[in-house]
This record gives sequence, C-alpha cells and structure tokens, in this order.
Amino acid sequence: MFGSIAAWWRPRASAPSMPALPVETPAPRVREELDRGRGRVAARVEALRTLTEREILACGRVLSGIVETARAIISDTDDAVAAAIMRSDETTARFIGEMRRDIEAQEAAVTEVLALADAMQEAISAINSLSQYSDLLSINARIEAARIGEAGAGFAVIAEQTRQLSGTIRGAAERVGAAIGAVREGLPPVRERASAMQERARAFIDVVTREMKQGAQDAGAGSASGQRLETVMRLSNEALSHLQFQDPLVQELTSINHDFAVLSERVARVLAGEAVLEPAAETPRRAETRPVSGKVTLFQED
Amino acid sequence: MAKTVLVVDDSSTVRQQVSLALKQAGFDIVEAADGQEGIAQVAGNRAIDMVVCDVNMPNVNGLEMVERIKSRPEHKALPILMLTTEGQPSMIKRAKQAGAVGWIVKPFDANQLVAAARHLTRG
Repeated sequence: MFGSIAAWWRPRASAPSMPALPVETPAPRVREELDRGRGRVAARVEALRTLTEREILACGRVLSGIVETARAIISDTDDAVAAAIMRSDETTARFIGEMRRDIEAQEAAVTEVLALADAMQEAISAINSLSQYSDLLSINARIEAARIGEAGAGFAVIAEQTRQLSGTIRGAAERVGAAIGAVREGLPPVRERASAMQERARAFIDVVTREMKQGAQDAGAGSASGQRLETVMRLSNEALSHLQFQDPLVQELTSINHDFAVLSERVARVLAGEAVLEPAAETPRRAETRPVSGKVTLFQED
Repeated sequence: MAKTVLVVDDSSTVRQQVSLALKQAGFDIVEAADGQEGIAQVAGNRAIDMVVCDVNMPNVNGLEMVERIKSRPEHKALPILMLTTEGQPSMIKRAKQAGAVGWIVKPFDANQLVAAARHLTRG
C-alpha cells in the first residue's frame, strides 16, 4: 500500500481541492513546538552545568589556598592565633565536604531533569514518525475520496486507520504532557538545593570571619601574623564570591520552570481540543545577549 | 568622610558580599532586602551617596525602585548601580531610561565594584 501512496504523494500546496482532513491532532505543530522547547531548555540546563562546574572549581582552588596559607603560618604564631587558624581550617574543611555533597546532589537533580527532557524527546520522536505516517494516510484518504466518493469502502478503511493513528498520536502527546509535568516537579528541588548552598556559604563566611578576626586581634594589630590572617579573610571572601553563581542558577531555573509552565498549558489546551499549537514567539536567547559577568557597564561612558 | 552606599538585594549572601567588599574599601554601608525597603531608606537617610541595587526582588523590583526614586527631584543626582543576574538589552535599556548609572552582571568582581563605587561617589 505504501508504494502506491509514495507514488501518489505530492506537497500539500500543490494538492487539488479535497474533502476535509479526518486527522484530529495537529501533530506536526505539537512536534515542532515541543522540539523547540526541549532544545531551548536543554541548552540552558547545559549552560548552567558549565557555569556551576567552572565556579565550583574556582572556589575550590581559592579554598585550597586558604587551607595552605593557614597551615603555613601556624608554626610562627602564638597559641591563640594557632587555635583560631585551626578552627578556621576545620571549618573550611567541613564546609568543603558539605559543599561537595551539595554539588553531587545538585548534579544528580540536574541530570534527572535532563533525563526527563530526553524522555520528552523520545515521545516527540514518536509523534514525528506517527504524524508522517498519518500524513501519508490522510493524503491517500483524500485521493481515495476524490476517486470513489466518501461512501467508498477504501476510504472507510483508511479513515478508520487514520482515526486510530490520531488516537495514538494523542497518547504520545499526553506522554509528552506528563514528561513536562515531571520536569516541572523536578526543578524546585534543584532550586532549593541552590538556595541551601547559598545559606551554607553565608554561614561559612560568618564563622570564618569571626574566628579570623578574633585571631587577628589576639595577634595584635600590625603584627605579621595579623596581616596574614587578614589575607586569609580576604581569600575567604574571594572564595565565596565564586558562589554567587547560585544566584543566576536559581533565577535561570525559575525561568526554565516558567517556560515549562507555558508549554504545559499549551499542550493541555491542545489535548483538550481547545487550541492548535502555534509556533511560540521567539524570545531572545539569554546566552547570546548576556553581557560578560562581573563587567561594570557605566551608561554615561557608553 | 566615608561615603555611604545603600545595598539593596533580597539575597542576604549577596548583600554580605557587596557590603564586605565596599567596607574593606572604606565605604559605610546601609542595607535593604527589597525595593520597598530601599525606597524607604533613601527617603529617610539623606547621607546615602550611592545605591547598589538588584533587579529581581519581592514587593518592589529594582527597576521600579529606580523609577520611583528618580521621580523625586531631590534624588535626581543619586547614582544607582544595578547589580543583577539579568543581562537582556531591553532590561538594561529600561534601567538606563529610569535613571540608573550602570549595570553589573553577577557574579561581580569586588575590585571592579569598588572602582565603580569610587568613581561614582567622587567629588
């Protein structure tokens, strides 16, 4: 049967006037819409992973420097300063361990979101193949109807097959809807972990700053040890500045969640038969338009 | 006499980071957790020489805060520097039109922030 269909096939624009198409689901548009949405989300999640890894590595390097500096000056300080350094050293080591666990949990959650996005992609592929088959059948149905009339037995068989396929496509679209819902459920825990990491970082700098200040006071203003402790404090601050990446992470995840909410709503409307998915208005990709992080742009100097 | 900077951000971590960097450079710091609180601080504290402000905040966001502060004649000259994760040109343009003097995308570099603060509060 397909051989004859392929031989008959012509682009829709050049097809003669035919009876109404019996296919109910606007599958190609669903496919394009979801494919685009999935691609956009996957690119943004990947950018977040890259940012996370880069900043965590930078933070880790500075933290290692803190530990080494602290250990190096223990030998030439008095007991009070040494005790402060040891406490800070322990705090830093504990913080690094906790942060590593946080990162692993966050990484697992992001990977899970990506896996869900992949599941969505599989459903989209299913829609793709089914809709192509459906297109061929519907074209054949038009041809048969034009030839033998709507009462013809050939048309009735093909129309039935098309209806069954429409149902299958609808099932695939529903799976996509479920996948979108699962992705949306997976995002809040990632955001919560990011916020928790920020809070941990804040608590860390509180403790280290307090202990180091105490150590500097004990060592006496102007002493070499005091100055070195100030250096350690400055390094602590620098290390934590790398953890600012959690802020854009949280906001990006919120934005992605919003995108999924919009997509989910559109799919739900299509499944309810209320609307046809039209291509969404293109929004500028942030990754393409973002100024360089940290760069100060003063408007009067533009 | 030390210049005073109002730091407005709903993230306590970011407020702490900004405050620490500016304090170490000799600035006095006042903090606010959202735009509404920031507006109140500016209205009630004439000693504020500059504002560093986030965009996405609860209650009153940063752009609205700038517009409302700049709508008052006595604050026309107050420099407001946006410090945010946002980077869309349309948003930057809106901030500029509202009266902000500059834009920094997080994560910020402490040295660049201090240099900008010194530049904007000079004289």
